[in-house]
Amino acid sequence: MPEMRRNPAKAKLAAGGVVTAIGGVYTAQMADFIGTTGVEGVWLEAEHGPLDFADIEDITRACDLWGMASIVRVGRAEANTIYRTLDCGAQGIVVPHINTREEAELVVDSAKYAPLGSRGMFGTRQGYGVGDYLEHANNETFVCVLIEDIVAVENLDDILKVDNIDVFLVAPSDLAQSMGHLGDVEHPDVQAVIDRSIQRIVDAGRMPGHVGRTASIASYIQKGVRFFNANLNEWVTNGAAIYADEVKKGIGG
Amino acid sequence: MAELRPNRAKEKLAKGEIVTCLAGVDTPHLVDFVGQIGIDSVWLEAEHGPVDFEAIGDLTRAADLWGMTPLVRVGSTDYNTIYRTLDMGAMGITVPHVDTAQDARDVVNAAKYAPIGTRGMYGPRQSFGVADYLNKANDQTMVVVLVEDIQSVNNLDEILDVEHVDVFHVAPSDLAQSMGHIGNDEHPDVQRTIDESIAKIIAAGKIAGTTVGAHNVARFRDQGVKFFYTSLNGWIMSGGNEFLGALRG
Repeated sequence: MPEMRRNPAKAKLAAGGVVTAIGGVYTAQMADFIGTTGVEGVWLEAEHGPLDFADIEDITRACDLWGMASIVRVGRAEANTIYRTLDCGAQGIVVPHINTREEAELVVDSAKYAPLGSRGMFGTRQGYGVGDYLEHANNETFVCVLIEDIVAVENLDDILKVDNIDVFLVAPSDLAQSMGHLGDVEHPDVQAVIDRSIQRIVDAGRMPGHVGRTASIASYIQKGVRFFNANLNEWVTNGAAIYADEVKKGIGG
Repeated sequence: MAELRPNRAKEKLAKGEIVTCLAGVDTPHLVDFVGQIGIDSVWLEAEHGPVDFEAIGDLTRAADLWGMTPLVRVGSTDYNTIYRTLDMGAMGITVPHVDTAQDARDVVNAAKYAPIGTRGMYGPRQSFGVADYLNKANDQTMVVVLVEDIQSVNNLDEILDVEHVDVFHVAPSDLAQSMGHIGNDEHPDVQRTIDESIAKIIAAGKIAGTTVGAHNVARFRDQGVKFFYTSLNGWIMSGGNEFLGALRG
């Protein structure tokens, strides 16, 4: 009888470590290859991206093979979407646009079995062969909510009172839009709100998350952030730039 | 850095143990689900079935999760087909209609890197993160040839001389057809040929496999067969019959 598969993101956060979930991974083959990098998690995109329920099983198996947390960003705080995503094999969910305490409570209720919530009952992929799955599932299910509207910032104290949320991730682009600064996440007002929100999350004893960019990740770790959504597109772009520089050196340019 | 994934079927055969191989599980969801049963390997069907190259990655990952050896039955002894199948993540191939020693040598050549063969060079899925993969891959890669034509039976002594074949699998249905008994695997001449072929394989110090169901697996186990192919279809039929029988009382 196999053991319940541990959630490496939850375990590392609990131990005080930094967790990166790499986005921009849309195929199982790519997730399998990404496993060689040692990254802790994969951020699978079903709010904006192409991933359907049918894709989740194959991609999350590739993550399981490497001990990477498979985390799916769903489209909304809707009960069936959340627990179906988990039933197909995801080890965690990210839910966008959580603007009120009630929305945050709905997310937890959908992602956790009783007594914490009322996640729908089914034989889930992560439960295959696990004798006491229902006892362990809640402990291994990662829940992240996105703070990405100015109304969420206004309601943050209330949202932070909701238990069983692993990460409150402050997401800059939508936040900037909601503040009247579309496409300008570097605007001082936006940056000030991000920094203040991260500090409020830390002060409440909760875990903040942020986007993980190579140029700024060290500074956000200093601010207390331990969970990052990085993006493969940036890694590819950076890798391509390094390569192009070497080509230039080679031709004496 | 990851370790090369062990091949459970090969390891068990090397220790003289019996290996079970389940066919009829040609979706990743099914492979994943049957993992909990304790089957040693899955037989993914690309000679007759729906398993395209694109499907092999997902199917074999599901098998890897449970430590089941993913084997793919390819359509022929074709060189590229065999190593492309392995490159996508299969840990072994089964090859139909291996009728001559040359056929068997072609299979080994395609499935093994130098110095044993000339498998084409690429970064296979099973190599991801594995240092020194090329010097370890041959030990992980399992080769099963099907003895399923009367011509193959007639050439069996020479076929058995080919090294690096893990299992010589005697398959009844095509054999029966080739002996003029299409659809009648139970014909005494067919059954005698199967029994004699298995005895000859074992006498040569090689590993015999055959295709079985619950009704005859014990008989072949007692003959010394170590590799057993069975199909999920048989299990579905018996489970379905049991359920409907219970319903009808």
